[in-house]
Amino acid sequence: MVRLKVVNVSKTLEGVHTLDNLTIELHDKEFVAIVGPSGCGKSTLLNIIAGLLNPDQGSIYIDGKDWSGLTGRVSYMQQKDLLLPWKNVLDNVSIPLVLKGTNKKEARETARQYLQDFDLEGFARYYPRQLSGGMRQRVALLRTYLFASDILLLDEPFAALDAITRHKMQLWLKDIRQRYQPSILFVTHDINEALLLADRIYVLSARPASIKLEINLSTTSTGTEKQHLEEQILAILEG
Amino acid sequence: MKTSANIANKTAPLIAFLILLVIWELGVRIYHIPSYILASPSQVLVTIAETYPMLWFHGSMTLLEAISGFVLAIVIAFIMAFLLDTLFWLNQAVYPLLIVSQTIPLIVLAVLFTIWFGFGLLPKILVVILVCFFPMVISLSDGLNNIDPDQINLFRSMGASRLKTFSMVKLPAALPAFFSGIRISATYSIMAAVIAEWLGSNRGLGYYMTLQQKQFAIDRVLAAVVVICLLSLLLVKLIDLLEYLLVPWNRKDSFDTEEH
Ligand SMILES: Nc1ncnc2c1ncn2[C@@H]1O[C@H](COP(=O)(O)OP(=O)(O)OP(=O)(O)O)[C@@H](O)[C@H]1O
Ligand SMILES: [Mg+2]
Repeated sequence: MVRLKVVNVSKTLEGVHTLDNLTIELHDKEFVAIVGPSGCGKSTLLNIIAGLLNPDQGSIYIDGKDWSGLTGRVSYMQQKDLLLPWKNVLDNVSIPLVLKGTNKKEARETARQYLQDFDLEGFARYYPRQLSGGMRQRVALLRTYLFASDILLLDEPFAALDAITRHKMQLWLKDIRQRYQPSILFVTHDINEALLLADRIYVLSARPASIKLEINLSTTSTGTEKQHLEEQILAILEG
Repeated sequence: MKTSANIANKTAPLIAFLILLVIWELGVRIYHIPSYILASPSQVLVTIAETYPMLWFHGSMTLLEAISGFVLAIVIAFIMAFLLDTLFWLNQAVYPLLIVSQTIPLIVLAVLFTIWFGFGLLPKILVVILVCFFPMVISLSDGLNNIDPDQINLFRSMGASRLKTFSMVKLPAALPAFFSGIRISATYSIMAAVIAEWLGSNRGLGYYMTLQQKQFAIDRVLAAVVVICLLSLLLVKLIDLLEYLLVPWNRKDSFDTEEH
């Protein structure tokens, strides 16, 4: 079942042709990665899907309904964690619930139940500045998840982390995904990350971004095959 | 080591101040400067002790004018900054006018207010408001403008209304900037009240100083100056305390200094 569909989307930002006729699908409970060179328009694409930007051409369909230019349907975790420094962990992750009209106390109660799964047990009252980079990302992920748990857009969530923490987070996300089974559209420029986590990968070209390659990983799982794919993707990204 | 550096930071200006006082005291005594030209610090101190009921009588009026004007200015500045932030066309139309309005000499306005509104409380409060209002509007407006647009986008993506975004993100984020404007205004407020009194009133430190000055009672003029400084400092400290309580995440406590 197709949850999210990007159909023939093009976008020009301040005279720069950024997205060129992109068509992308995200199926139910699927993990789709989008890899592309830096500055090719990956964040722009997510901004359009989230409804923050209007596409110049094309449309966004979610569960068959046209959501082009409309916000408030999917969860969107941007490249920065964007935690509010004056709110502690629990209040930061409660924000989406409060915005949806839940009262503060109930929102906290609901959010608290997820702290353990997100490895934040015992940190409810900590402020963002007191947290490590990995923890901040997990807080932002939980906030994202609590807004809309079915479709998540994640924009390079682990890019700023050191290699060891990043790998831990990748394994953790794999695990969380098994448990909660959301549909995830995941932007990265780390090929190994995409190969490790995704069911399917779209490889984008440099600006204006178009789809160069679509890889279905559910059929390819052996190490040598992945190695071959990695080389193939690298060749595309390096132009 | 850090604590000794901290103590040095606090005591250095105090020592410099004391040295200045000693030079002043010795200068007045050695050169036998007559008291109608300059009073020594010790004389001023004695005068404060002798005339404190009078200083309090006038000082309390000045304080009342300053605080009333200051608080009203905070409220007006807040509303103004909110409107400027919400209504783009108002911002375009009014912001430049605000800047230009600061070139109007305050003294002229104070004189005009006295002509229009008499010797009472109102013209003084108006002067204080005019002086205090500007730094606060500018600082709050700048604070509201300097917010990471991605932070706003996050709230937009979650379907938050503009009012919710203002109260949950923009205002708290702008509070530290607002407070720096409030602090500047606090230092001006007493002075503004004094200037307004100077130009026409029958009570207040400004009035008291014009009286004493005409009688060449320099020690009394300086005693009033000391009171003005103390009241201004008091207001600033009050604002610091308020900021400490209201903006706890921005505290410059040991936790932050560790990182520098
Ligand atoms: N609001 C904007 N207005 C104008 N140009 C923009 C805007 N946002 C991004 N751009 C430009 O559009 C292009 C695509 O930006 P985008 O952030 O989508 O790339 P990206 O693939 O996410 O890059 P990165 O890997 O660095 O995150 C870049 O050249 C960028 O400079
Ligand atoms: Mg990006």
